[in-house]
Amino acid sequence: MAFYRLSRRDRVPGLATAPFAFFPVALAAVIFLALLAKSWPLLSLKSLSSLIFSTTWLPSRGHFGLWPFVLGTLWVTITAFLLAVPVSILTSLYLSEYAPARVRRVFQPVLDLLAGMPSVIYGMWGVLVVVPLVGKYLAPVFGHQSSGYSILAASLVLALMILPTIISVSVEVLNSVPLSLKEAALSLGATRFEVIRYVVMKKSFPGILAACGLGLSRAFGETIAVLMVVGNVPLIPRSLLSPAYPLPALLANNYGEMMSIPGYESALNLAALLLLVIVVGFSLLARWYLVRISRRSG
Amino acid sequence: MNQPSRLRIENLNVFYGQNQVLKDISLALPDNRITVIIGPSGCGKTTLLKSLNRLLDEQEGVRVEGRVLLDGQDIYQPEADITLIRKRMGLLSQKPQVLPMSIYDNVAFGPRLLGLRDRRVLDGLVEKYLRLAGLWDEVKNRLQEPAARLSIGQQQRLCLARGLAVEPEVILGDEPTSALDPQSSRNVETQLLSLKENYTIVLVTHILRQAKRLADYVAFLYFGELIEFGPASEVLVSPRDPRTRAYITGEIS
Repeated sequence: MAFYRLSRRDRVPGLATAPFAFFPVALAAVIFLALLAKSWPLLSLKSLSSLIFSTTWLPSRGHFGLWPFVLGTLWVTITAFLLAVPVSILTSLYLSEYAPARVRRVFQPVLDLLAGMPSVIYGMWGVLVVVPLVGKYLAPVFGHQSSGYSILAASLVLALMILPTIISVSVEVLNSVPLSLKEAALSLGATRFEVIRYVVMKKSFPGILAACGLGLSRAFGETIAVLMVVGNVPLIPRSLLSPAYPLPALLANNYGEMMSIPGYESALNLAALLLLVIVVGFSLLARWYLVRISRRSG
Repeated sequence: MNQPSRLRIENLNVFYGQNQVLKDISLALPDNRITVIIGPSGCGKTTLLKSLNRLLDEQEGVRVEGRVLLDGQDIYQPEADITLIRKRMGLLSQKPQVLPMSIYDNVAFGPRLLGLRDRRVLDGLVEKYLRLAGLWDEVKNRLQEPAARLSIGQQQRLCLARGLAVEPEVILGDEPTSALDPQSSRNVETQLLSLKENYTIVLVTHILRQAKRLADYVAFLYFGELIEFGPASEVLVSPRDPRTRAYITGEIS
């Protein structure tokens, strides 16, 4: 709290650094506005809801229904998230609470490596291993015919990609619970598991939630690995074994091509805008929830 | 010294990796008295305290040799029930460690672990132990608030109440007033003095004046060795060992 004016010498560094802080904010605004401007030609012809909720995607005939892509994005991302979160939490609990130092020393660099691996490699691995696995083995078990290029394949690949991120952040969070707090609970006669359940998890919950949020945003935006295994069929998905066409894949596959079709570029910009809104929406939701629980536990 | 003692340390050696932090300690802690462990920082006071309720087990690379007997039973026996041992010794740490829950739930934590669910019984216990720790009047109207909102001094008394609620026989205090302001420290000290009637208390402190105020017995630890142990009136007033004297007169610290 500054109740006094900063001297000139103290003000200069603030003035010098502020523009750099504003730059990303301005950039975000510019991106948003550019997308909006570019999608305006289409929005001025058709209502937003008819574009979002229509299921027909036939650009050559002027049908730009984005609903299959929105659903594709949600299916793939949420399935991947549901697959990744329990595994991540159990793994990070093991690593922070049970694993001997030796194991941790090996795991940490491996996780970092996995987190930093180019996503196209995940995509190729998905094509080589996950797609055949889903097509040849998993689909028949459920009595389905599938090429393997499906929501399930994409979710499995995507889950694997976001695991290292969620795990590394969660482990950090769990490790930040002070030993003396755990000792306090142990001294009351709690078993190690009870300490984890009632103290460690509770203390770490907001942080783990933030870790999951990070994983979720990454999953929403992941493009290349997903488009390599998801099938890219612009239809409403029927099950986990159907192919889908998430928004990032739509953009990456088509932007810059066939731009001569009227309204096409505009439709793709609207798709990008929609993706941005979905991601921002989810992260705001996560933030709101975090604020709410931190207020409650004061 | 013919004080009865249910808690005895016999030939205790503790190693952190290659480093020996406690060297052949043997000590009988007198029942219903306050024994204060003094000594320079890093001399093993906290390690000695933590060896009494097997908290050292939680740290990797620690090796314990020797015996700690509670009512004649070695707590380091392979078949010893660690949680039961810990329940018999309440711990107050340097900084109050309130659990991330309400004031009420903090005190009820131990009893609930034992399977106690009856709300009325729990209500009674919470009140009883908050009174015993001298905190009841300050918090009786805000029991459901997060414990983290209490002042640091209140938090420490809450930790005391929480520890007492598991009905331990021994209270272990690891510099329990070091994070507190003078008034709160005095509150905690007063509680400890009134509790020794029913509990055996072992305190680690680096404040000699606190040792003088509280101690019935004093153990002086120096570089992992037990140099001197005896009634406070003897050790603090006319120590036999020159190292104890040097520490008490402030020549070494």
